[in-house]
Amino acid sequence: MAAQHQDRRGERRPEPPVQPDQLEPASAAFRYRLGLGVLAVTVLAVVLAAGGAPVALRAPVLLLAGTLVPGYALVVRLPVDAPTLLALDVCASLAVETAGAFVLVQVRYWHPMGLGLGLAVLSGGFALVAVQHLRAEAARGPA
Amino acid sequence: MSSSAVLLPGRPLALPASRRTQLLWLPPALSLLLWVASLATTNVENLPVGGLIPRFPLTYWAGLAIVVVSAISLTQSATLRHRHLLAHLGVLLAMLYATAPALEDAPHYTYTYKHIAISQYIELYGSVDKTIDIYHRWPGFFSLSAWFSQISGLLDPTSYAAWAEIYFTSLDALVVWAAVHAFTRSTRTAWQATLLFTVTNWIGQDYYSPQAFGYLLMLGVLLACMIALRADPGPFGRWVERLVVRVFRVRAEQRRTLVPAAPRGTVSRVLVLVVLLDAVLAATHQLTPYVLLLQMTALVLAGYFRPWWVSVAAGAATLGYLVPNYDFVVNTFGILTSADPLANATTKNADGVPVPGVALISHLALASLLVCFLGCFIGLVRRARRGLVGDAVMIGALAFSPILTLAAQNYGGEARLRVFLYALPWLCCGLTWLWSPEGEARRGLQLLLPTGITVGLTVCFVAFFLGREDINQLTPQEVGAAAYLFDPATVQPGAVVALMAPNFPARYGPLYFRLARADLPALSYDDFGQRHLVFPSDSDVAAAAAIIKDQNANGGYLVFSQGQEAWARDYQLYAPFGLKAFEGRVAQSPLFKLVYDQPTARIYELNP
Repeated sequence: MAAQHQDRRGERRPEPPVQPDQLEPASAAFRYRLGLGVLAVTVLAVVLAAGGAPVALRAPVLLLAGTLVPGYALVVRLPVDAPTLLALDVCASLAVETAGAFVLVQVRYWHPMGLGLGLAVLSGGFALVAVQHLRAEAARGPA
Repeated sequence: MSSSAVLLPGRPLALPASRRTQLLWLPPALSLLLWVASLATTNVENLPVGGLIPRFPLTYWAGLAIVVVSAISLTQSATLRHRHLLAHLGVLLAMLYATAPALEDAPHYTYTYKHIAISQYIELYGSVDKTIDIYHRWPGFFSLSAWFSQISGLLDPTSYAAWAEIYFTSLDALVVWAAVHAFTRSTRTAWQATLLFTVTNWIGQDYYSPQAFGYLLMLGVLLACMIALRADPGPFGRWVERLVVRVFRVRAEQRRTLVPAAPRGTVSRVLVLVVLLDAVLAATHQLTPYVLLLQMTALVLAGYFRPWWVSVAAGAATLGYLVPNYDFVVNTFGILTSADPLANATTKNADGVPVPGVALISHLALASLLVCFLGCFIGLVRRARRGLVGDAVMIGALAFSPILTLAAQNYGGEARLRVFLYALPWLCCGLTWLWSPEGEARRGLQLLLPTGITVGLTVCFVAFFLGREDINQLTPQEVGAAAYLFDPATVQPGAVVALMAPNFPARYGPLYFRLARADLPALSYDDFGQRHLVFPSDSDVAAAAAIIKDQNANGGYLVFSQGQEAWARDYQLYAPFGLKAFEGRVAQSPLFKLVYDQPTARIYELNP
């Protein structure tokens, strides 16, 4: 609907759409930095889990990795602001892990470390590709 | 007086802006300190009626008041300071959701333990057994938890389950912020709605459970739809908007929130994401996918979400997962509990008559619920009267469509609470429009309404969420008693566990399915032994033994615990001290022998 309103001189002109205090989409630099963080957490999680590190150190890192890593590559290209990107990353990460664990349970092939390693390799690989693209993009600067 | 102390003309009296900004860190920092200090001095042993409320020192209340009032004031400042608001939200989340796990030595809520048991089962067997119970048929969350337990080294979920509440609520808050922002394009509305969401989510469903995880996934699906599948309404949506214009006498020109059109690639990615999240949700929780389907269908029918088949895909995932489990659900629970919405909304899930303190807490919770629904409704009308009718219709559909679940289910007496849970983020968004219909800042006396409502809702939250900690709390000794019962080394398979009152972890450990449970209904009410259990006698003990023997079980156990005593006291299941006196008789009776003895839990084995 082409809504209209009157200005001070009484002339009618189209009503401006509501455009309040919104956040801008996250910059390539932010996505790149987030990607580097995701890669670092992935590597750390694999090292700690494979090396049998103390639970007090291993559990928080794996929780962070599980919350952020698998979803990063799925959502990093979405043109959304930083909090939305993080929110979608979290949901996607947990969903991917649940899908993987669910399949293992259903087919009675329970290998949690195998699943973790597989997810780390796949997610880390996709994240690495995304980070390289973003690096080039950030170097070119905003379009 | 030295000359340096004299104010020179033109010298600014106020602090420089940068210093004022620095001062904004003070309230959350102070609240955090006060909270930590209150944790050190709060005693959680033998909590009275009112749970933690009478035990909290003044520092807790002071810290809570500071952070809530300061956060409200920040949401109304001309320039929103996101980092400061985030700090406030973080402290508030900790004060509300991390207090119980920080103070107590075991995860609260007895029903947490039945969820832990399923994860423990998967860890032990690496699979599920669909013949055991419904949880084995919707194992999404349990599979995730078992996987995390094994890779993190925290093999027993009991060790981390208590912290699931703050984890899920924090993630919910993030997604709610993003969803409200995606919808309104207003960071101020997003912060206000998130703040309200944090102080109204007293339902207690963010604990270690499929519901908590399913809720997060559901919010994720709606967020994804908000960012890329928004569209102008179709014929039905326009008809609804015209109806709203007529009914609420909207005179302002209609406008729409400007939402940038999503590129084609974005839409494809979001659709993949929606299908993934919905498929996982379908395998995680029994109720949530249906409520999500209701919400999505309402918005697709009105044309606010496109393409239309996104709702069909969600329905296919949800119903497709139900089909192989349909017979089990129908034979065990039934798909529809009643076609009477009023009956479904008012079914009680607790027996007994609450003492006045507990009744007051329930009234405060109901007040919070009513304020949210009523305030949201008025907020929607105000938004519509500003010409933003489409926004009001969309949020109205999201907030009020979960009520339709009452037409089919009482969900074990919890349906009204679940309705509130599913509606909550959207109720909070609508509620902010009550005082700020277009996300505008409020000044001076106008601040009274948001401050009053937020503070009032916080009081209701603390009353319900922490004021029932006397029955929600569990001690390690009670958990130990549950572990004793479900350990094959101590208790034979097929034995029966008899409880004098509800509120004991009746399922725990990977072998939880090996024991039967008897609630001994005759003991829970005043017809025990044909009279009140005021002065128990040996005949009462013999009656209890007979009831257990009637189960034809492979051994019988009678459990007394602090949680049961608190429940019996709060809901007046027995005369005061009746339960204690009865346990005294059991202890002296030759029919039973004490096999587990801890200050907060005792187990008596029935002699053969």
